[in-house]
Amino acid sequence: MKSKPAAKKSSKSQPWNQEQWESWAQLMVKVQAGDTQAYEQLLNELGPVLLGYVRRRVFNPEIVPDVYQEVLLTFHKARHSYETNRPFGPWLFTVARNSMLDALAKNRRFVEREIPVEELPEKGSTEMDGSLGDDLDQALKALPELNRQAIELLKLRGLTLEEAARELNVSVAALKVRAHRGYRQLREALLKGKN
Amino acid sequence: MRAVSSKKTKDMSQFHRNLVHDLLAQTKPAPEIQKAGVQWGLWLLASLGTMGLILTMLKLQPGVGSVLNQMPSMTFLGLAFLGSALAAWEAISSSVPGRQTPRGYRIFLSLILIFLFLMPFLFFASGGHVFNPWTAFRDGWGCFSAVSLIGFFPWIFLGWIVSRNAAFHPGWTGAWTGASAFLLSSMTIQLHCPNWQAGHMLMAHLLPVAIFTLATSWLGAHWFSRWRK
Repeated sequence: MKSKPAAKKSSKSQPWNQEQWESWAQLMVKVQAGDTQAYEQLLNELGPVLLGYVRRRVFNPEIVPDVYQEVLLTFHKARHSYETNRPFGPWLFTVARNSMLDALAKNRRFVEREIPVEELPEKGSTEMDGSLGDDLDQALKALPELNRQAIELLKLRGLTLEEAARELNVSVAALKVRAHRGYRQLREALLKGKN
Repeated sequence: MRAVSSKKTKDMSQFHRNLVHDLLAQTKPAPEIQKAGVQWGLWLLASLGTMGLILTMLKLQPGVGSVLNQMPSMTFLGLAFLGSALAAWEAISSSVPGRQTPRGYRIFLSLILIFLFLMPFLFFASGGHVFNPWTAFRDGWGCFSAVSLIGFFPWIFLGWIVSRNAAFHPGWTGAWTGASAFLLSSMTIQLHCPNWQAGHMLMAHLLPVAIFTLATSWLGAHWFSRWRK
């Protein structure tokens, strides 16, 4: 009962009114029953709400996508725990807040372990006679572990997204993000080596 | 600058679409869970039933009527039951997002638990009797084992209920499940055991509650976070 005012507070400071919350709560009931259309609508309507929530609290824009992803994934995993007779706002913001804090903590640990690519002692060869292979190898080794694992599983071992995600014990979405970051970092490292 | 932020917005929109696409691909009906109040009621009924059954087998202590007529004994048993019931509610509500109890509730519950541990010294310590923890522990090993074993029944049931919810602080939730279940078991054994000496109560009836509260905090951190895997 204590958290009820939180929804009111949110709806006062944000352009969501009581009807909007009730409509989301009704959609949530359908989501719990496995209705994918309702789920898509709910995620699309809640997307800006949750993204705004994350952006207001996370000052580093580079990690906003990570945190937002964690919030949506947690929302997905916790959707069964919403009690249909209760206000939706407190449930949503409890999930958002806790998952955001967890994501930030994970990110902090990750940053502490990360090796900055800029510090690598590298001078890449411009030749294509196999020396690129060494550069590629080096650049791959220099990637943050999570991104490197994603690329190795997908590109070197040729696993499908689902298989690789299962091996790393992450969602497919999380794997795609890691791989995408890895490709970008790899490209940057190789270009830097060329110039 | 506008171009950059518009690109970022576009990227985030695409990112959101990809995420939604992946989540929709994994959609299936969510497992149904009972309302928190129902969960609590079911646990209380089942646990009291189990404790009643165990007490029927173990038998009540002789002269239990006169024991219950004494204020300190009655207060101890009453507080143990109240603490157990409130801790179970705290465990359940801490595992349902948006259901968190007010801070005052947790303070009140903690005070009950602290007072329970102080009660043997305050009301059951006999003058001139030297409290030797090791002797009290050794002599009360039977009660210690009984509290520990019996407490597992309500703990498993409460843990099963809570594990189906979505606890964000599984360690704390685990600690409350342990406090609740083992307090109930301690109360049950106290109804059976005629020894109301401070040392015995502390080392044989309350020590397992403290130990298993810590242990279940660790176990809960693993068990109650499985929903996020």
